[in-house]
Amino acid sequence: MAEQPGSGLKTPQKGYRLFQKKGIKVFIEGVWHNNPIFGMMLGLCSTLAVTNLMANALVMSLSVTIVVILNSVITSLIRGFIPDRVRMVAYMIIISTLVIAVDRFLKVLLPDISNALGPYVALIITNCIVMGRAEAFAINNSPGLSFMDALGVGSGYTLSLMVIAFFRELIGFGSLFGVRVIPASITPLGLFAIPPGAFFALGTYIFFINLLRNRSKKEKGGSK
Amino acid sequence: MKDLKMVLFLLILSSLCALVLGGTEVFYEKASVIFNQRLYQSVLELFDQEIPIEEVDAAFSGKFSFDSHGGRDYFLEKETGVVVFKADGPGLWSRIEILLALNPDFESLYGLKVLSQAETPGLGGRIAEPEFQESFRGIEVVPSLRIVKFAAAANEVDAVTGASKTCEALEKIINKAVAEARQAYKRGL
Amino acid sequence: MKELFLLLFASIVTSNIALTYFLGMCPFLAISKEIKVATGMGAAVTVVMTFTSLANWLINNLILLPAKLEFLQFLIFIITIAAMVQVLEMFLDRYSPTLYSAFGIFLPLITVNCAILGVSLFMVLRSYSLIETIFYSFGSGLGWTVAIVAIGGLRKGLIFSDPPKNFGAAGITAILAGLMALAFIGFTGVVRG
Repeated sequence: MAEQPGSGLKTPQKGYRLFQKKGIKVFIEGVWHNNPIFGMMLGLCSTLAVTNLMANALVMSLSVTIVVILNSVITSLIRGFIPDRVRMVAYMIIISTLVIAVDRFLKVLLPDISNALGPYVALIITNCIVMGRAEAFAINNSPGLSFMDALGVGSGYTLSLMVIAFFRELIGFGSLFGVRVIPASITPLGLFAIPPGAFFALGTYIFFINLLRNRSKKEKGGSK
Repeated sequence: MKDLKMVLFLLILSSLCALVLGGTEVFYEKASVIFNQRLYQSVLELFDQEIPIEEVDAAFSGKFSFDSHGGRDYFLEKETGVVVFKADGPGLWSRIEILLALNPDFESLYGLKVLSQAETPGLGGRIAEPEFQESFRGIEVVPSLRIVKFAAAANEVDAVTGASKTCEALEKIINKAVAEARQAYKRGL
Repeated sequence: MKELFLLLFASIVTSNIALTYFLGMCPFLAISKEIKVATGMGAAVTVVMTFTSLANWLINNLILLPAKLEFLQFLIFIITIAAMVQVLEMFLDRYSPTLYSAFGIFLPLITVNCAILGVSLFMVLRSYSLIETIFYSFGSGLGWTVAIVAIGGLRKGLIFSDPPKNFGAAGITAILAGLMALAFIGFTGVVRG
């Protein structure tokens, strides 16, 4: 995709369209190329833990998305003021605050799912995705683009988690979002409901995604 | 000079975050009111009364009097003297929160209700099923309550198949809470 | 006393922090196949885990709970971890170059290792006492080390086999970890309540 030089905002429409084009590019990169699960191998702890049920996966991935968006936008807004040496500490303070707030909200609005997610919401603090995007993108880009990047990465994360959870819940419990869809006479393959199943599901998911990527690479004649 | 800038920045950032967190806590406190209402509703359900959430406060204070020992709230049913209280503890995957109702002699349970759990769905999660909870009515807690494979004695309850760890955890929670209640009221000791 | 050793055993085997609770995964899938490196990292993690859990227990039970400041737990925990890792790194660098070369280099990575924070969080969730925390955190560190060394060894042996290319390094490691997790479940019957 050809990079268009920043021509300044000659007319508001031109500047806006420029932003839209670059923003969308950044978004798509976040979903596919920088996908936390198969692109960057980040945030795997929570992936494995919460994909046993689709409801858990959805709430978790939305929480992560909210945190990464807010963190990236805030970091981008104050990027001029952050002294270089305390970057990491600053990230940690901001992220911890955001996560505590999200955790409290979840406890009130969705108490049962909050109990199910347990400590994994708090572990968003150490989730490399959030700090990774701040360090790799937000600290050097405008808030608008940082938002698109965070949205893309968050969406990619949500997508991956939901796909894995779909299969794990369907095969492991015979249900989707808690609603039993496989007839009761068929016993679910409990393997996918327990921890080893999470690993197997992840490995299989990576396998199929790589299959897709390599196939599209071949079709495009080797160019990405 | 650089160091001063660093310290100043961190101080300002921390203060702002502390403000945000303070605000979150205020919101949480306000929202906790509904926690209490839900609790009262559950207590009334244990006594086979379905009260809509708006009328819960009135219905509850009509039927129960409040007491407190060792940081725990106890609700005493005015007519029968049954003592109701919350207990919680670690399960296999989550925190299990229950409502215990002790008969006045503190030697048997009036009933039990599981308020919150996130154990393995279909296995440990089945402790949330009404039939399981019903099986606790009238069960003796002397010398302690036991959740076993084939319940025979008066202080035994049938466990959920395939959920031994969760049932073990539940048993621990119940016995610990009952012991604490006995200490508090000096009854059934 | 028996309870404590059961806790230790469980945290290494049946409730292995990496294979059952999925914590500390990032270095898991990216770590070198060298056993030495894996052991070094494992040692660092164990030390940091034990000390930080201890520190966090003290702060939580002596300061946060009495002052009703539980909602600050996450923030305080992560700050404690970061601070202790810094201190440990400086201490090692100053007083024991040999130890520093063995595992000091891993320390900066460990701050964001979810396993460290995770252990402190589980300690709170399960209301462990001080001594239980020590056994649990030390056991978890050992368990993590066992898991990561085993995975490293298995990956080394992979050069003799030919898994489908599309798995990639990460995919096949995930499958291996799953198989190991499955195997560890077999230990569940060993410990009778």
